[in-house]
Amino acid sequence: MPGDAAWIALGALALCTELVAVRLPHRVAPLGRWIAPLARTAAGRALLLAGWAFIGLHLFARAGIAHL
Amino acid sequence: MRPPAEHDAPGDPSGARRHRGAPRDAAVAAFVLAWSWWATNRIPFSLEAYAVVALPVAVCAAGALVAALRLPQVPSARGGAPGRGKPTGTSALWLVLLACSLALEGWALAAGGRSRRWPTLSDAVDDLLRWHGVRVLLYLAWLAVGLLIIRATSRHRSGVAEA
Repeated sequence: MPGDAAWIALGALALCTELVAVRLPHRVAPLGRWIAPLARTAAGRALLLAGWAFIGLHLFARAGIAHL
Repeated sequence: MRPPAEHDAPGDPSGARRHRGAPRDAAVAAFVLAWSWWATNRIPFSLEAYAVVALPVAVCAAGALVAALRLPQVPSARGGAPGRGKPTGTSALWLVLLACSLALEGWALAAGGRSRRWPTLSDAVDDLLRWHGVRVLLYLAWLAVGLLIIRATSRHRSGVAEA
């Protein structure tokens, strides 16, 4: 499906961008630099944790052996 | 009896520490991989399925809390100017990827939301989550983001404390 392929390509590009950013941080900003401003405040850190927990629940609490 | 190596000298313990760290790192990596394999093979919506998400969240929250308590409180960083000497690469690539993702999601929603040809991100991920290997990879990536959150918290605080 073209849509699936497009999402996979975007995911692969994001991964490549992060790998390049880790090696060449003066050329490309790594993802951590987007997180850092949020991590400055307690509310930002709570928001980051909540968003991360939501993604975990959304992806992994409903996907398991029933799919096999 | 093993002859004392140069890096075992009390004055230079870094080599010995590195040697001791390698098996520990391998053990941690093996444990995380085994945990991820087990964690992504639970019955959906079961107590275990929630626990395998809740446990890393609790560990991450505790890690962020410890990082916050151990390091000095940050003075107000109004303005948020980056520290001198820090690399400042462009975020343009990320913005392009974000714009492409939003456009694709919008296109998928405009196509009806449940289109097989143009799935939304959630539907595309659902398709991929059928494979256990993909679930393990995504779970590992999710754990890595949690680690990134802890590190971002501690790095910011220690960076300001050093200034």
